[in-house]
Amino acid sequence: MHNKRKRSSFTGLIRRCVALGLILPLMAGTAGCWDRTEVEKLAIVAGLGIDFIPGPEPILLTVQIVNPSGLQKGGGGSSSPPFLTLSATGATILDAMRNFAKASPHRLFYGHTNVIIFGDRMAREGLHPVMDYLARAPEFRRTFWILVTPATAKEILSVKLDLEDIPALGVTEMVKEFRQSAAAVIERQKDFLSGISSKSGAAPVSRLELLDADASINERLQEVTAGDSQQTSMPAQGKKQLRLNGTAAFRKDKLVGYLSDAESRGLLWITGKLNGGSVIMPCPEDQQHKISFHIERTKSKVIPYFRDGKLNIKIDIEEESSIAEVSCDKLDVSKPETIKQLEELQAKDIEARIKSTVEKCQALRADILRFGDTAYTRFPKLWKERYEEDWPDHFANLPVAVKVTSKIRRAGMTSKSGGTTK
Amino acid sequence: MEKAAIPLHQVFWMFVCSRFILNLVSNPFFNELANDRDIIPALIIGVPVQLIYAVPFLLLWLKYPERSLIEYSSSILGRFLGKIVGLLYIGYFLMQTAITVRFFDDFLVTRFFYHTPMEAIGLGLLVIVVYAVYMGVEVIGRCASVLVPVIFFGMLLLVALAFSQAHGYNVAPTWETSPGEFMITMLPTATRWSELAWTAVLFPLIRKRQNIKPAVFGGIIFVNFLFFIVNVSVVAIFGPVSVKNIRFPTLEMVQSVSVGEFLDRVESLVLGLWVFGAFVKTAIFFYVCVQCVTEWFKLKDRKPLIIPMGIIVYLLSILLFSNIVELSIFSGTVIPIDFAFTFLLPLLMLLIYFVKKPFQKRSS
Repeated sequence: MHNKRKRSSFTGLIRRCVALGLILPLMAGTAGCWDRTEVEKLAIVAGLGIDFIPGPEPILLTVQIVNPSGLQKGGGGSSSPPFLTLSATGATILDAMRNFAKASPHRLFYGHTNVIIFGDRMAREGLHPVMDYLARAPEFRRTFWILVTPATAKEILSVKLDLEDIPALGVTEMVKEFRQSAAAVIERQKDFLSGISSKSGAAPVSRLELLDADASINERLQEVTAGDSQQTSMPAQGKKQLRLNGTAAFRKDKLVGYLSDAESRGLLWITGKLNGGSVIMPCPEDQQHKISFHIERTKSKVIPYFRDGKLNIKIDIEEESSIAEVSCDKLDVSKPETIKQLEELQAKDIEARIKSTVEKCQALRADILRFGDTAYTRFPKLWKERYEEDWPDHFANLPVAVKVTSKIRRAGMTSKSGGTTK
Repeated sequence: MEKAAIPLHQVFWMFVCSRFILNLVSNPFFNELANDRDIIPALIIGVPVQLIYAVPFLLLWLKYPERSLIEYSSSILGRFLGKIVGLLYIGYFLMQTAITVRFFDDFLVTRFFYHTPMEAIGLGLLVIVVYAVYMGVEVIGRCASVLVPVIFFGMLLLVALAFSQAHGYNVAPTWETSPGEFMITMLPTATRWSELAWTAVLFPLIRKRQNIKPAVFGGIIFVNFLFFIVNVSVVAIFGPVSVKNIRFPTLEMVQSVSVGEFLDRVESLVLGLWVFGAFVKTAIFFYVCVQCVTEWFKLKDRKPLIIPMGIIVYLLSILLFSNIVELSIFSGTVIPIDFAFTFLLPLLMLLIYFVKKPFQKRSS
C-alpha cells in the first residue's frame, strides 16, 4: 500500500514535468511574438491614392498618414499638421510601396484604409493590375470604397478639409453621408469587382472632384452686386473643396466616361438604391416658379422580355412623394385634380431623367444599369446564344421603355401656396 | 486496452465539426459548381446525395457493432487482403490529419501571421493535439460538445452581421444546370465525408451505438444547413464570379462585416472559432490514426505510439506540399481517393459480407 502510493506520487511528478514541458513552448507560440508590431512604429494610412504617369515607373502612390501628435488639440500649440501626404512611384504597386520604406522610418499600415482614390488616367489605363494587388494583400479588406477623380489622386489627398483634421477620413465620412442620402452610387471594391465580372461587364464608381465652390459663388454674387457702386469685398480665398459629384462608368476595368449629377440620380432610380432625395420641377403653367417634392418611397423593377426575337427592357418605377414646397401662383394643391395633374407631371419628369441616364449609358456602351445581368438571369440560354458576345454593342442599341407611376401622399403642413391666401 | 464510451451527442458534434471546419476556411465547392448562381438548388439537391452516400458505411458499422474497421476488414476480406486495406486506411487517416494541419498553417500565415514560420504554427497545434490524444477520446468528445455549438452560433451571428452586404441578384438561380449535372457537381462534396471512415474506427467506443442513424443523418443535414447559410451568403456578398477567386471566402465575408459603421473588424472572432474547430478535427483524425495502428499491430497500449506518430504527421504536413497552389489543387485530386475510402471500399466489403454470409451459416 505504502509502496504503491509512493510510486503514484512519482509518476504524478513526471506527469507534471511533461505538462510543464508542453505548456512552455505553447506560451511562446500563443503570444504570437513573431508578428508583433509596436503601434508607435506604424504609420497608419488613412487614405490611398493611385495615379498613372506614363514612363518606366508608371504607378504613383499617394498616402495620407495620420500624425497623432498633430491631432492633439490645445496641447502647447504644436505646429505639426494632423496628416502627412507622401508620394512614391514604382513599376508596380508593390514596388511603389517599397519605395515608401526608403523615405519613411515607419512601416506603412494599410489596415485602416477605407478609401482608395484613382486618378482619371489610372482609371482609363485599366484598374486590373492594381486591383489584383489590393485583392491579394491581406491588409486590405474588400469593403473599401472606390472613388475616381477627374483630377489626380495626389491633388485630392493634399487638400485640407475644413472640419475634418484628416481629409481621407473626411472623405470616408462624406461617403457614408452620401450613401444615407443616396445622392450618388458608391461602390465597395467587392461590388465593383462583382459588377465588372458579371454578365453586364460594367460598374459605376462615384466621382470625387476638387471644386472651388467659394470662388464660383463669389463670382455670381459679384455679378448680382456689380451694378451697385459699393463693391462687396469678398475675400478671394481660393479654398478648394472636395465634392462627390457624378458617377464614373467603367466597362470591364477601364473608365469610359462620366455621368453628370442628374444622370447619376437616374442611375439610382433604376437600380432602386434611391433613398430619400427630392424632385424639383417647374410649375405646370409657369416656368419661372418651381415646385419640389420630397421622395418618400420608391420601387423599381427592370423587366427584360423578348419581342419578335429581340431583347427589350422595361423599367417599372413606383414612386411615392410628398409636396415639400410650392411657389406657383395659380396652383391650388388642396384640390384632388391638381394632385392628379402634379402626379402625372412628376412621373413625366422622372421618366425624362431616367431616359437621359439610359441614353448616356448606351452612348458610353457601359451597362452599369445591370441590364445584361438581369436579362441573363431571366433568359440564360437565349442571352448566351445571341447577346453574350459583343454585349456592349447590343446594349447600346437596346430598346428601353420607362414607366413611372407617381403618387403624392402628403402635402406638408400648409394647404395653399405660401401659407397665405391671395 | 481501455474501453472508452462516447455518448451519441458528442459523436454528433465531432461528426459535424470535422466536416465543416475546413470549409469555413477554404471552400473548393465554389469552383466545382458550374454556375455559382445556381448555388441554392445545388445545395438542396446535395442533401439527398450525401444521405445516400452514407448508407454503405452505416450498414457496415451496424453489422460489426463490437469491432472496428481495422478488425472487421480482416474478417471480411481474409487476413492478407484485410491487413492491406487496414494499412491503406491508416495512410488515408494520416494524410487527412496532415492536410488539416497544413490548411491551418497556411490560413494563419497568409492572413494573420505573415512573418511567423509555418512550422511553428503547426507545431503549436500538434502539441495540444498530442496531449488531447494522450488523455483519450472522451476528452476530445467533451471538447467537441462544448466548442462546436460555440462555433456554430458564432458563425450564425457573423453571417447575420454580414448579411447587409448581400445582394439577392447574385444568387438568383438561372437553372442552367440540369438535375443530372447538379448530382455530379455535388458528388465531390459528398466524397468529403471522410468522417464516415473515422466513425467506423471509433464505432465500438460509442455508447448506445445501435441508435447511430439519427446522429449521422442529423449531422449531415445539420452541416448542410450551415453550408447553406454560409455559402449562399458568401456568394450573395461577393458575386458568383469573383467568389471563385477568393481563397478564404468565409473569412472575407466576416471581414466585410460593418454594422452601423461602428461594429467593424470582427475577423479575430472567426480566427478563434477556426482554431477551436481545427483543434477538434485534428485531434479526432490523429486519435483515429493512433487507434488504427494500435489495432493493426494488435498492441495493448496506444500511448507509446502517440509521439512518434505526431512527428510523422508534423513532417507530412510540411513536406506534402511545397506551396499553397499545390495544396488547393490537391483538394481536387483527392476526390477519387476520398471516394474510394468513404464509398467504394465499404460498399465492396458490404457486398462481400452479404455474399459470404450464407456460406458461413452453413459451415457453422
